[in-house]
Amino acid sequence: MAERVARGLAAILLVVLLVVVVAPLLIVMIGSVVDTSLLGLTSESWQEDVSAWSWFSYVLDLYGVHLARSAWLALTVVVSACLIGFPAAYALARRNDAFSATVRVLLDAPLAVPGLTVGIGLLLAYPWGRASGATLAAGHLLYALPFFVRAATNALSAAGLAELEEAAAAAGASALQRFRRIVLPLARPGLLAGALMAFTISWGEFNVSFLLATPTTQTFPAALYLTYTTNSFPVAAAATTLFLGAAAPALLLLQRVAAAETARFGEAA
Amino acid sequence: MSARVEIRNLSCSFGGQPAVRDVSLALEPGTTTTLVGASGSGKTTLLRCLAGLLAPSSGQVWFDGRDVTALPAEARGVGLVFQSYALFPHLSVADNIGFGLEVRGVDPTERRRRVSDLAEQLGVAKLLERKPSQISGGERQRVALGRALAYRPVLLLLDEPLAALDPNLAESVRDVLLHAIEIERTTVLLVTHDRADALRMGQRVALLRSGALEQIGTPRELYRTPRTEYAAHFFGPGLVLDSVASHRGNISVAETPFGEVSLQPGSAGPVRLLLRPEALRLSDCEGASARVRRASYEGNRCRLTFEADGVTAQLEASPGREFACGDQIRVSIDPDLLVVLPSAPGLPRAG
Repeated sequence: MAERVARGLAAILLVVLLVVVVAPLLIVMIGSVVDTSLLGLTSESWQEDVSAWSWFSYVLDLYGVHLARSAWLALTVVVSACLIGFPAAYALARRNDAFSATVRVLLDAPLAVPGLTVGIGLLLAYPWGRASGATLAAGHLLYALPFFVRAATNALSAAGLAELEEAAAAAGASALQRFRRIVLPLARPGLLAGALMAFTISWGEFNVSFLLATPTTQTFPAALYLTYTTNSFPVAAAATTLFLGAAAPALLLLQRVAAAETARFGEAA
Repeated sequence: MSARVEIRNLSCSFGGQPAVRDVSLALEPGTTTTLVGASGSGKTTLLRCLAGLLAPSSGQVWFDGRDVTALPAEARGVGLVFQSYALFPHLSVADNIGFGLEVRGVDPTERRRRVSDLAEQLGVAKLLERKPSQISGGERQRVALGRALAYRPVLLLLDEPLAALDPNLAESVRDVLLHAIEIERTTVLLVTHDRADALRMGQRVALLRSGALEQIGTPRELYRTPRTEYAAHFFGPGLVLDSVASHRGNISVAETPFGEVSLQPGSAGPVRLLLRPEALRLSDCEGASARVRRASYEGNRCRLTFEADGVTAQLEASPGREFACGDQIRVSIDPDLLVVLPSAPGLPRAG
């Protein structure tokens, strides 16, 4: 009896969760292809003679440059996160002492700082980097790096990196061989997961982007906001759908990586 | 292939805290030496210095007359088996065993042959395609041993190889280990905290105490003629008796609560004796009379705690006879199994 009640409650909660989380996304996606009057929005409507799908090409024409810029920025952030974060993660996993534990706790600190504050801080400290977008990339990196370092450090310390490297050295492997045969394969799942997270964080980041963006460095989320406030709903909805479409493969890939690594290391991983 | 290993005045400290103090010892080619001591006595530190994973604060390590102190681990050709095995989780059992050959550039055919020979010998031939996470603890230990032996190391270092295994498994892995060592004929240093393993697995036993070498010798020497009280007590607890030896004719005798015992000729004056349980015997007519305080039946023997002349001691009796608390027994000393402790506690130590 109690079990049935619990199950019933769980089912209700699941439905509520789906409605609350997924429904808004669905409305936006549906809104991008159907007549908006069907959604109860009467203020705007598609032109009768235009197919709804054509709005996507219209949006691409209008925001293609922002999409490309966001993608370029996200790639820059991913590469920088790898270059800075991998050595850091390696050092943290190798030390594995009180200092390393402290750093690992402090790593999350930037995430607690509101994006608005970070944006203004960067704006005041590095105004010269604004035009080139360097300050913007730095802002994104500030959020992406902790996730990246954490994922990579966890992958390495879970495997017991220090001892495995010692075992490899004792067996005769040079520093380069240890890196190629032991460190890199062990770090790979963490690096991939970290890179994908860095990508999605940069891709969706709004606060810092909105503050730091100039007309020539505006990212897609910042442009999207302006679209919602100044352009018609169907255009914004179509733009949002495109935006989601680009983030979804990264998330799916993340799942695949986790599954593949589990298979590679056997059931223990 | 096996090297003569010499440790010369080796010290190693961590943050000002000495873990190994001025240890000198030699490992003869092809022999097994066990390194034993309480936890924190510096066994593993010494082992890591030999492997090249830790730089000593002072002193040297020599392999076959060559100073290797400055050589990194990968240039020493040492086989190392970690207490936790430290198998590479992303590599198969075969690739784990063959790792040392692979990084040495041994050609694949040759490598496969050596790996399958070793796997056969260690009883893991059926597991070559598995990952370390898919095999048992005892199997992991064998694979770790195979990885350390594959490239025919000049010195094999084993850090508590049996400590993580349950007793039954430890016994079978011990046999495999001793067999493999015999076949490979390499110089071996085996670290253990288990006294029985230290005595039965090594041709020589080195006892460490607080980072310093307390005594080194054959298992019999350490058990029978300990040079310090610490060494005596480390390998087997017993009853310590102070007595006085005196000449009687051309032998020496000492008085104990269990009767007179004869000692090595020539000893006279105060002596301290250690009576381990096996040195005391039940006897029918001779010996001192004693009263049983506790009898614990252990299947293959019966351990008696008894009192004689105000002294409490233990002995191991045959399990065939039943004892009860309060029984009168007669106890005598087997002079061959008696340990005469060094008279002064502060004897000069080796090194």
